[in-house]
Formats: sequence, structure tokens, C-alpha cells
Amino acid sequence: MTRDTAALAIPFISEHRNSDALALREAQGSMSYRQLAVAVDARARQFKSGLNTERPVVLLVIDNTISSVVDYLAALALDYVTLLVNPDSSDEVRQAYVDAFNPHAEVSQGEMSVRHADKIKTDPRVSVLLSTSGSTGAGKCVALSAQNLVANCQSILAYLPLLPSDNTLATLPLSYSYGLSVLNTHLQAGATVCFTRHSVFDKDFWAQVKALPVHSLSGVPSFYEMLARLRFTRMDLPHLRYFTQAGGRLKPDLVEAFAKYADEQKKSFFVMYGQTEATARMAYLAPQKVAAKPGAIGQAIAGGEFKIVSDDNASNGELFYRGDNVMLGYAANASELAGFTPPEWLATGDIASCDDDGDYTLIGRMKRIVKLAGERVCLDTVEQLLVAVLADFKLTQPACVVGHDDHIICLYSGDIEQDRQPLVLNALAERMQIPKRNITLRDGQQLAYSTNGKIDYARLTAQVKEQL
Amino acid sequence: MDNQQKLIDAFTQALGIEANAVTDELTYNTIPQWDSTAHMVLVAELENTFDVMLDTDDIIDMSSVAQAKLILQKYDVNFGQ
Repeated sequence: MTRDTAALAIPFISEHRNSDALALREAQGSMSYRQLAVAVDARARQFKSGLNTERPVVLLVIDNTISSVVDYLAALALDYVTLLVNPDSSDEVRQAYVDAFNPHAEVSQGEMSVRHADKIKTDPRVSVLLSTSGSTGAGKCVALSAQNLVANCQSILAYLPLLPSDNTLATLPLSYSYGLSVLNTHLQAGATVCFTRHSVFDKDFWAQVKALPVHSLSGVPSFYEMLARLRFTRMDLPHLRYFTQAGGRLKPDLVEAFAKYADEQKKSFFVMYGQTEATARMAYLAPQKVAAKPGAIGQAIAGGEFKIVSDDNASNGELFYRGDNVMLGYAANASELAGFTPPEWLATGDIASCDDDGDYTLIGRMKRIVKLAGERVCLDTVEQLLVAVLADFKLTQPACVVGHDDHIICLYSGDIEQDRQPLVLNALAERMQIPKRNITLRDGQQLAYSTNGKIDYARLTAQVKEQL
Repeated sequence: MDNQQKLIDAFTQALGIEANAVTDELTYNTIPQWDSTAHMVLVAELENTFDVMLDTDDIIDMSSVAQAKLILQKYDVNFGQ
């Protein structure tokens, strides 16, 4: 047998090549593991015939569809360097990625368009590139190795009660590390990933949950806020065994409510913590502790380790993580793909404390980043936009931005006429690409400054918290 | 303020749209402002405005302004037609 006709080693599904169990399901159809392996083999041959470059860099628009999963697995099997892009990203964002990484080809739903065949030097370990910022811009990417993906997948499978007979409903985008981890773990376990175009406010979503039936759900805080609004805790879902939350802090009162529901209904609620820099997952809180510790993130996953680093022997400090799932590094452009020096300890940028049981709790962010619907928004970037928008309204006094949970609070030291405030707010929402409900505008604010003349964000954030 | 005006206010607040855009025909997921996250805000706004607690099925059925009125009528909120 020649090399070309030998079966490809396809990550995650190799063990299930001969299984007739369902791997993927969408409204238009479904695919067994056997069919998926055949489809990936065929897709890989198609890619290879179109692209005659060694370890090409490809931009893959990955949608929540069977065809996109085939694209993804084919690219992994061929050891491509694959940049995963959200299908909802704007043309500007996509163009920025093309400009920065000069990919050999763009792939979408099984269609490959080749751009060039020039050599791009890549670190032999780099496999997948994921965006660090969401809708607000292209930004630098996290570079992950195939080993990162496998290690994190195994660590997650060590604690989630995932069974090969499970159906999960994938509501998170696959271009997002959390969403990708749901796909990888279910494929590795031989379970079924179901895709839906519906949101929890659509009848069809719940019809699917009951008919499939769905055994697990995963979501970011906004997903759980929607479920709370829907009186999820009063729903009768006998087949649902567990649900997981990550992607930012869920309000402790909601954590408690879901923990109580899980307890009463003999289900498990997993509160988890992670970052794309750690492939996805770093920690989870044991479900039986969630009700008692609704603000905690628990302990490091199998194979991982935390430490707290503080300047002054304080009980809290910056949280560091070590494990095989720590990224290779960041890459902002094609030349940065050439070689990586992975950090041994990942600085999470989160401030944490650890209790006597060894459970960690997050206290705040080292840097100025907030999460809106699971996506990172850098407050410094937003602040620049605020200043620009205010200037358009001839408002030129000092201004700054602080964040609290999922809220952007714009502080302006001058006065803004009452009837112009909605106009300014509209302009801000549009420029920042952030929903208006997540933005508060306050004028006539006294901005706190530190001794070196810089805006004292910590003090302002504390003041804002008091006022909310 | 009559219930019709309260309803329009709730929609304009929750979806961040102009009052004249709030017509009976306005439907969930047909404008970018009325997505699933906004729907959640809308439900909260309607519940606060009219002091009601909507059932899961009613929240899911509330797919247009006209539908919202019909559902709220079940909770004794009348719109005088």
C-alpha cells in the first residue's frame, strides 16, 4: 500500500472508524463515525489535490455544520496550520486575517480557494490558530499544537460524565475554544454532537432537546441568564444529565439556583474555568460543591496545576497555570508562526485566591478585559473608541472606560446635554459594536488619578460598583 | 400611561429601537436588534412593566408584537381593542 492510499490518522475519531454510531447530526441529515471517516478521507484527498504546499496555512471558516467538521478534521489529519474563523465575522475581520497570515488557501463548507503556493515557515508543532478577541476585531491568535488539543480533550473527559450514548446540542460556535472542546470531547468519546440553528427562545430548540433527547448542554453566562429567564429550573427534562458553564463569571445567585435545580433533579452542574491560551479548560468545580461555593472555579483539571503569585505574600495574587494544554504562544502574523517558545507557566491575568479545600476563586482581572457574551473586550480599545466618538460630538474633556461584569461604563468628566445623551450612546454602541444594553454613559464624573498622573482604574471600578 | 404606550416603551427600551418601529408585525429574529439576548431583556422589561410572571411557553411564543399583546391579555393586561 502506498502512503497516499493508507488510511489517514484522523484525530479524535480514529478509534471509532468502524462504528455505526452517530457522530454528527444537523437539520439536513446526520453522519455515523464510519461515514465521517470516509468523508474526512475524501475531503483530505480533495484538499491535497488542490493545494500542493508542504504544511500550508489555511483559513477555515468553521460553521456549526457537518461539512465544517469534515473540513476541520481533514485539515488536522493533513497536519495543516489551520486558522479557525467564525462564520459571523465581518468581511473586515476576515480580510485582516488574510493580510496578517497570508494563508495559502481559504476553506469554507468543503470549498477550497487557493491563494498562493509560497513557502511559509511554520513551527512543526503549530496546528490550530484561534482568535483571542471576538467580534471587536481580528487581533492576535493563540497558537495551539495537536498535543494541546489531545491533552485538554483527555483532561476534560476525565471529569465530565460523558457517555458514548450521549447526544449534546452544540450551541457555542466551533471557532470558540469552549465550543471546539465540546466537539473534540464528544468525538473522542464516540458520542453524538447535534447542531441547531435555533436559540433557546425558539420552540424548535426545546423540541429537539426532548426528541433527540439531549443529555448535556454547555453555555456561557448569557446562555444561563436566558435559561433562568425561561424558568429552565421548572422544566421537565428527564434525559438531561449534566450541564456545564464557562466563558466568564455567572452571577452567584444564578449559580446557586442552577445548583439547587441540579441537586433536586439528580443532574450535575459543572462550573468551569478556562482560556483559549490553555486550549479551553483549566479548572472545574466539583458539582457537589457548587451550591456551597457559587463564586468558585474549583481546582485544576487532571494534568494541570495552579499557583498564585503575589508580590507581598498576600493571600491572593495572579493565577498561573501549568499543563500540557498551555498554548505554544501568540501569533499576530505569518512570520510569527516560524517558531514558538511555549511558557512553562501560563499567566492567566486573573487574580485569584485559594481556600482551605484547595478550591480557587477569581477576584478580578489583572488587565483591563471584560467578557461580553463570552467574548473578550479590551477596555483600553473601547476607551479609545469612546474618546473618538466624544470628539465627534465636540466633547473633549478627559474620559475613560471601566468594566463591571458584562457592562461597559463610560465616564466623561465634562457635561453632556440631556437630549444629546441618547445620540452619543447610539454612536458608542455602533462604533464599539457592543449592544447598547451593555453600555452605561455617565457625564459630570470626577476621574480618579493615581500619584503618577495615570487614571486609577481600580479606584474608579470600585466607585462604579458601589453606584450600581 | 395606557397599556399600549407601556408596551411600546418596553419594546423600545429592550430592543433599543424607535417607537415607530414597534408595530404589530414586528417579529423576533427579523431585525438585528431583536435577537435572543434582546429577547431576554424584553421579557424582563415586560414582566416588570406589567407586573406579571410569564410561563416558559409564553416566553417562547412571544415571537411578535401582536403575539406579545395576545399573551399579555392572558395575564389580564388589556389593550382596549
